[in-house]
Amino acid sequence: MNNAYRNISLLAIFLLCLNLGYPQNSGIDSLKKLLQIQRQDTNKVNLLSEISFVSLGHLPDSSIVYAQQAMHLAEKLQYEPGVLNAALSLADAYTTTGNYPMAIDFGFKALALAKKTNLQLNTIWASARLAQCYYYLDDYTTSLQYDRNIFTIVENSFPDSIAFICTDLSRVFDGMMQQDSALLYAKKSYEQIKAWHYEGWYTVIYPVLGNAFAGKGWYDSALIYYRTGIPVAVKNNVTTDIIDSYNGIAKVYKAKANPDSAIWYANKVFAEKTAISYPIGLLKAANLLAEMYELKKDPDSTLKYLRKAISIKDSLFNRGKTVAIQNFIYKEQEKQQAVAASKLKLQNQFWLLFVLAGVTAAVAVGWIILKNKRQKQLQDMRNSIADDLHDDIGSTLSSISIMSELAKNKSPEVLSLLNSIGESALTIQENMSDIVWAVNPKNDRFENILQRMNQFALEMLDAGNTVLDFSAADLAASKLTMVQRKNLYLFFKEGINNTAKYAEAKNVWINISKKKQHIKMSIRDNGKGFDTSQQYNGNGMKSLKKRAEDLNAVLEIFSSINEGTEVRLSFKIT
Amino acid sequence: MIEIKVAIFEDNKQLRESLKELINTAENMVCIGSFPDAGKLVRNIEFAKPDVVLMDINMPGISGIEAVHIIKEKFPAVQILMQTVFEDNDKIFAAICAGASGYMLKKTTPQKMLKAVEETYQGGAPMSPSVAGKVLQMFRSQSNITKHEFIQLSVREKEILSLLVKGKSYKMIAVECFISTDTVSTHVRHIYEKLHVHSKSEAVAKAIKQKLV
Repeated sequence: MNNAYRNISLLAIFLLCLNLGYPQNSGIDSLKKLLQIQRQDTNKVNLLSEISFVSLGHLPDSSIVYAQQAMHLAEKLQYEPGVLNAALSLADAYTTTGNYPMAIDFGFKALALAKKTNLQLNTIWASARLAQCYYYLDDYTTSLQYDRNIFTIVENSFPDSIAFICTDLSRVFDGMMQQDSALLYAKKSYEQIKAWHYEGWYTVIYPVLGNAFAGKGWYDSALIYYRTGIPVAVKNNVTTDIIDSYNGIAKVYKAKANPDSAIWYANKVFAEKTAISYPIGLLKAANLLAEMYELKKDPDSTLKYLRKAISIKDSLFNRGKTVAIQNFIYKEQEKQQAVAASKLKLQNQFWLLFVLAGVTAAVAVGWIILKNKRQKQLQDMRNSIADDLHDDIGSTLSSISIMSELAKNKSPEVLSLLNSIGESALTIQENMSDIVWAVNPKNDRFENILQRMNQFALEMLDAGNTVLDFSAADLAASKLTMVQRKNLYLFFKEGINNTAKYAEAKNVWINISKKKQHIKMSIRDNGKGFDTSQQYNGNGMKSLKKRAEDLNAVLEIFSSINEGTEVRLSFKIT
Repeated sequence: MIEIKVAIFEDNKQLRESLKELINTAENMVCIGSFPDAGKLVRNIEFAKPDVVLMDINMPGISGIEAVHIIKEKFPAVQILMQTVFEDNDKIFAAICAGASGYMLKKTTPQKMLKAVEETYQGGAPMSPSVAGKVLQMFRSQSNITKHEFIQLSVREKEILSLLVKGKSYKMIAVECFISTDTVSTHVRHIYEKLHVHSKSEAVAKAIKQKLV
């Protein structure tokens, strides 16, 4: 168990150490990865500057892009240190790619900002960029001016870093053909470089040394320095120094009157994959090759390289344009990104609204469902109360009828009164029962009505030993409204009541049928009948007529003495 | 003289007392207990030992239908006559399925009430057409519900049931089928019994409960 823990912690520490390593070339990728997840803040600016710096050596164009992004973001965030750094990087990158006007532009920007910061290092760096640009523009005087400024500051404040400014001084003196000073400063620089063991990465010192020695005519030393410098430059991927070294060697061989070697080394410049990013180096090589081929009396090759030189010069000129276009494209991309961002924002808003709408809808639906539930609950409560009431009334009425019945035995003299009481109670119960039945939506179907009628008729006529014949067509599909139901049933009851009371019939035939949209009902008996002309408006008839009216029905009554009676009803249903 | 022992369960005080008196005036009956609700149901029945129980459907606490279940479980010999104002077929059907021998509407005349008690005691209570219809339906849809307890009505029973559905009285059925009214009663009793057994089967009880109770 302990062993496992130890191993794991060791592994963790090991991995941690790996990550802490100084970013090498593969480091650019990891930096770029970091960039992807970085938010638009000052950290990102610094990260961009870092990438720009790291890629300056071998990918100057990328370096420019990153530096531009850094600048842009820094300006947006009003992050001055970021702006300064970006300006310096841009000055560097433009110098490397040969766009000196731009480089100087940014150099001045950087210098102005540097003076504001009161940080000497910033001033040094800005001045150094400017010095370099002027150097490349062959304006050695101005370059020297800046270099001297730097030298003064460095001598006083950073004596340990004198090496760098000395290199620059050497270069500018070399350009000015002041070889002694050039050599002096080159040596001074090299001393400190070696002392601090910077030679592993401060690759520029070698071509500078080489140039200085070559300038003094000490070609062999020059060659040694050049040759030492090349692998170091290769290792560090510094295109400018590699090419400068090759050019230096070629120049030496030229001076040594060794055109083939000169040509060979000059060609190596062209062979360099990244040479395209250092047009000045290419230009130098092209010019040298043209010269050499001229010496060798090779007009085609001479022409070839002259043409190349011209095209490089052109491209140098165009490079500025390309960069400007790149700048433009970059700004366009930025704009698009902004548009996309605002679109996304809009989308998000829309989604939010949608979700909100959804939630509101859900709430509304939930509220409606709840309301319905409550309504149903209310209805159920109503039904329950109605039931209780019905039960209460019904039971009490029943008790009245029972008690009146019992009273009959005890007090026979009040028989008729008690009968009335009992009948009243029963009547109320009947009516209540009928209403409850009619109102109940479950009884919408016709068969319920038929059943009820049948039962009623049976009960009514059974007492008088009348035989009932109840027939009804299949009316299951028909539906009556509540009002129709009530009226039809009450009509029927009335009819049967009459028959039971007056007809004294042996048989009763009830028939209910449907024709088109009409319901027809017939109640016929073979009782004693009556004279229709006389008793047509009697009590029994009155209620029949009323019910028929309520139904909007056609009522026909046929009767003859001793031949029975028939009541016909016909009404329309929708 | 046979004295039919009747127990009354009714929450309405007036009706309960008047029923008690009514029963007691009848020569062949006696009321051995009247209760306002079905609380302490088992103890009351144990104590009273009735032959016929008049059970109100709408009572506070345990419903009348529940009470029927309980009584039939513990005292299967007791005949139960449901009492109600409601002609609600569903409730009636549920009562019968629970084990009631018949039902009576409260609006019936006192004489008919006494007659109904007698008939119940004798084992043949009338069945209203709508209830008969429901019973038929019940047995028809049997195949969908049960698998093992397949209780079938005999041909005769089906016949009688369908006549009942048409609304014919026992008298009429007896005439049509060339049997005595007693035989009709017996058949109806058998139908009830089968219904009880049938409804006791779990699956069916569930189905009923879902539809009716």
